[in-house]
Amino acid sequence: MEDREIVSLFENRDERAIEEAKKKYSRYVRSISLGILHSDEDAEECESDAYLGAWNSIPPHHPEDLRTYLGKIVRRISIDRFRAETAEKRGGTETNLSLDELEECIPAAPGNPVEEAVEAADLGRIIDAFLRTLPENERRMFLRRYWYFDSVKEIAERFGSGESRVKTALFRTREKLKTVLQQEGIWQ
Amino acid sequence: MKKTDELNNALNEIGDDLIRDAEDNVPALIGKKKRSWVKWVGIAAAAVVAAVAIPIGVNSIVRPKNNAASGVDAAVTTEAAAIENSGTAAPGGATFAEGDFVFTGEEKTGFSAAEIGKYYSKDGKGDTGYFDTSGGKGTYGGTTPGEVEAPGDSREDPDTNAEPGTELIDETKTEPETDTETEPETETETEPETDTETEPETEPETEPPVPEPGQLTAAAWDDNAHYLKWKELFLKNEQNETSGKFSGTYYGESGEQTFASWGLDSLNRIEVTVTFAGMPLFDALVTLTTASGERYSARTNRNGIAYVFGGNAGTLTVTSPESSEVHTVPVNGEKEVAVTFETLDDMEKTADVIELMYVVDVTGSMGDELRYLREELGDVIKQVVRANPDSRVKLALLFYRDDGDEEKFRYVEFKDVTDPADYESHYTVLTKQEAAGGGDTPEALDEALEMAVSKGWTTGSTKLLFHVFDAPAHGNSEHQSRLKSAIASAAEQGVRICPIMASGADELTEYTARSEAILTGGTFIFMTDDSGIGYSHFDPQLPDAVHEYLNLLMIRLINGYHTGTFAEPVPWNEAK
Repeated sequence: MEDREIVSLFENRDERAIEEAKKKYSRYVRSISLGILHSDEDAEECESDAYLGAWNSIPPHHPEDLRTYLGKIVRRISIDRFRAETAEKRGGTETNLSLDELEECIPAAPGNPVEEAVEAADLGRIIDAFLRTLPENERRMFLRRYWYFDSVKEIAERFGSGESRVKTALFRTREKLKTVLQQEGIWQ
Repeated sequence: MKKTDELNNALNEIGDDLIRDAEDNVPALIGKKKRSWVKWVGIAAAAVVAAVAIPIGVNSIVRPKNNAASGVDAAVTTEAAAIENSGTAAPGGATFAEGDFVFTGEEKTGFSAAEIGKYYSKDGKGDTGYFDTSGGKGTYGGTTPGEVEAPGDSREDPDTNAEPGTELIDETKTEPETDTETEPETETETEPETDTETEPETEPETEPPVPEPGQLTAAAWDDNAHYLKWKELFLKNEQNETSGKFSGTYYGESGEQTFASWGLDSLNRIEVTVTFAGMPLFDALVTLTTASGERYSARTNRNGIAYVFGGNAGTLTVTSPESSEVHTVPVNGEKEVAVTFETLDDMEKTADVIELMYVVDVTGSMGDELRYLREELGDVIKQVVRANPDSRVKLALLFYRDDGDEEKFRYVEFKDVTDPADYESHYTVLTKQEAAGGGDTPEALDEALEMAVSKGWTTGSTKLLFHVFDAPAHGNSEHQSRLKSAIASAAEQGVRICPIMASGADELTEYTARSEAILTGGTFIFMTDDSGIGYSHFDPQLPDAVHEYLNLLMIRLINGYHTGTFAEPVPWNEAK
């Protein structure tokens, strides 16, 4: 079934929407959650929650790309679940490592104790623009690591590269992103 | 909300196309066997929904889960005991060990489309293995011929939005013996046999066509000619924080290390010009001995200039193969020194000979460009010979990989390639080189250079070493020291290293390359993305460098070093 037909089902409150979405994208959606949670059981639940999230958000949303839309939902849900489950036992897992690395992109904000929350959409636009300036493989490595939560080893295998090189590339990209965020005055 | 959370949430706001791209266009795995045993088979949803009872060890009997209506498979976690049939041969011959696969509870339940060919976590930390339905056979790690794609890995998937029930299976597997409820086999095959079912592994692969030279693009940069800019790369700001890109640290195989740890001191330079009767004197040996006894030697180029490094105070000693004079000049902070010879005894000591050596990293990571590079390098020799009919052109080849590789080094000695037969023999060796091995990022670069500079270079010739690579040397003190010595030896012999930085390099590779060049009076060359060949090329951020065709650039440099006059670079998009 075409995406637009499935989205139509959602919009018409037809419960077949979930079934069709699952048929078509279960593998993709589950793999994202599995990459974050490393538990089939949890991933299965997050997948179900993702379809529910789509059910609750379409309409008003009308996604053009249902696969990525579901992917974003399940990623958010999975990260939330991951945080809830590991709130008191940080460190150790691949997801934690990835999140810790991402923290390095955050510029220091000396002399400004009142830190205002940044709108995700605004920050998203800046990061989007930044990613588009990167060579495509650096961009893909970055997204595999911080969007899909691949391990460095997995990325190295995907790109036929050494782990050390992947680490260096990711480090370099984080540094660049940090500079961009500084220049944009984010959290300053 | 924590900043990390904000950042993470913001990542969800980036364009869908970027997310899709990172999923759909991730480069194919390199260095793995072709998946010729894999084919796509559409499995009818009804067949998938059906529970398949498969015994897995004594306590692992397949049991349908209660949500069979949607075909959802059993949960698989990391909590239960290992399956007992450890050591069972996988389809590709690999085996799995006890503990590689663990399942929830005592039984494995019905398989769904989403589960067949699925990767399970070995230990909850991201390691994965494959489990199929053929009586508990499986592979671990995905590197054997039994390999299948991981979930979400759709690079070779002809349709990432495949119809429900369409899954990768291993052609070599047998059908589940106890499958009493699945549809007949003929019903499960919804794709024609010609789909992704490929030829047997043993079938010879078609040799790709030999690429024409004149395709790769690159730019050249002489840090000795832009010395202040070079030094800026090592500057720290007033707070002693790093500001130049080589002033701080990098992440290498040993974690965070400083660039300074390599000991390639290029920040104290004296430019020495040596002349006779107002004419530049070539190949004069200039040695700086510092107050602490450190020595650094270099030879003058065709313009009579030598760069010596390591200090700005001490004594300069200048000799020439063409003269018995010895000049000793005290220096104390001077950046430029001129030395004039009064007599020449033997003007034949500098000959009209060009000695070239290609030192090429042929590890696996060079695979994206090596096929093209071979042709470019061969073409350069041909054109240099043609452009210098009165000169002898000698060529040597050295290929290197890394520890543990089958052929760590391969050296082919200097031959006079103005002789067509010798050219052909070198060209044949060159074009037969294949990228393989390597493993980790650093390679046996230092050992290769050490070997290269010890190989029969002759006094009085124009000596150029083109070092093609994409990864640095190993970073412990032994390797660092060897690299430093090799570079110093090259400088002392007048061997100018022109490193060519290939795709996939990083900052340490750039640092290594530029250090090789500046310390030996060579030129840094970096390949660029303009050609569209190979993976993305690391940008050393030299906007003033002209992007040229690599072969024309090399020819320009060789002729320049041999005559002392460098032609202007021609931008690649204006060259043809």
